[in-house]
Amino acid sequence: MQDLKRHGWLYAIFGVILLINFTFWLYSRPMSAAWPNVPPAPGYYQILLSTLGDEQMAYRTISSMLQNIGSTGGDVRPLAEYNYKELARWFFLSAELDDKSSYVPYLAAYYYGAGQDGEKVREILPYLFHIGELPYPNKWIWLAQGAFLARHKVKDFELAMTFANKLATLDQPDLPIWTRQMPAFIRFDQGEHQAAYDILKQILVSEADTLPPQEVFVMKNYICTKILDTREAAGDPLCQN
Amino acid sequence: MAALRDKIILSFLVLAGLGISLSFFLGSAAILEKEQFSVVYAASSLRILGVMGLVLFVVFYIRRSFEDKDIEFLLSRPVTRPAFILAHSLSFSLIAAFFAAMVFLCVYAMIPQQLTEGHMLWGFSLLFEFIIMANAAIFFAMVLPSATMASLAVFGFYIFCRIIGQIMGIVDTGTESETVAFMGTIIDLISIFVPRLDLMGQTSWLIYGAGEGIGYTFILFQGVIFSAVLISASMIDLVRRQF
Repeated sequence: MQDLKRHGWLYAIFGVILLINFTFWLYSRPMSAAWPNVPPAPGYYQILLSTLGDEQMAYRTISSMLQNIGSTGGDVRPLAEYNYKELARWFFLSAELDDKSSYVPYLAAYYYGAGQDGEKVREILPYLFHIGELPYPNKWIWLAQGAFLARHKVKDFELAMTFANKLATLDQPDLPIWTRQMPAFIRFDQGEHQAAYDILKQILVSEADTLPPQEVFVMKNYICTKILDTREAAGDPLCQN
Repeated sequence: MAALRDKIILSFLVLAGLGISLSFFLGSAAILEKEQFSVVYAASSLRILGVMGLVLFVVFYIRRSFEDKDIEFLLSRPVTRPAFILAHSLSFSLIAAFFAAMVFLCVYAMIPQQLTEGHMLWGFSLLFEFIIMANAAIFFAMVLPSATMASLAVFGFYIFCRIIGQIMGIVDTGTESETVAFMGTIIDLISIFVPRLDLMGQTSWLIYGAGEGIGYTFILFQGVIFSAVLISASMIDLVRRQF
């Protein structure tokens, strides 16, 4: 009590400071960090400066950033607001740091590829093409995914054909047969039945001996029931047996 | 004994435990390749933690020895000044090796089934990186009069060693400007005295194995050459010093 009398002014100042602190809290409490959209991608050497020259650490940091970029303090932004041009630059930067990992391609194809705006999704397709043609195991799936996005999201048949043709001509063993058939499927979707027929027939002629019988059956069935109408199928020797 | 007295091993183990836990936590937030994320985060952070612990211990030990007149007492005995530096360098290099072994074991223990040649190269590289930094800490603690200044100088030196490759890369990409070309010449001159730590301890080795290029010979040569430079510089400083 004596202490309070002697140093009452000090307690009073402390009380006032606490009051100011509380008032400031009332002001700052509803504030949250504004989302500045996708930041500009730095250069290869600049990003390495931030991780003290550790390439893999830089790659993982970028990957984590790309996974969470639109989520700031509980405020999750829709993909429609993202700057896809800048995202594509980040994707290519990540490929410079590590082109073997499937993490960023996965984000690009399945997460950012899920955007509703086809023109935005178009921005990330060159990256998927770049990754898809790399000579590492299972990279071809990004070409297939790129063809799907180009066909169904961007609705650009020629772009889809670019992916499909690259996929069909990849010099890698053990690719599933449908990777060779993809150009035919896209041409068929496009209404170019003759082109689709020619591609599949070419595969059958050149590889019928090496393909499993069930694959040959499925291909013949696709030609005879999907590409050709009943009259055409009846007249085609391929559909006779 | 000093390392045990300062509880440096216990402190490092606590920090390593926290670092690994945090790495697992951050790795678990990834939608794919969770193990790779955890290993990279742990390896990268423990590498820096190891250097920080080692440098702080060496610098504060040497500055305390100066302030307590331990060094003057030791030099009054039949010990030459170069031998004094050599003995300290050897002792601190052993502690550096112990730190490197602890970091390596922590990273290995995270995913023991994935031990590859890349892990061995990474551990070997870490050993020489820590030895270089222990010798750098001896040099700066000898030359600079305060422990804080010396610690900051060694950390600055370490950061510079880790990013020297990137700085040279930036300079190389923009040599059309005369100013940048001039800066490039200066950077080239400075880089003669800077070990290329950016080429050592690459965490990608832990995931994809040891690649082509950097091998045991490069790491060994770099470790020996730069340790020798730092030890001889410390010797020169001590020989010229007036007590």
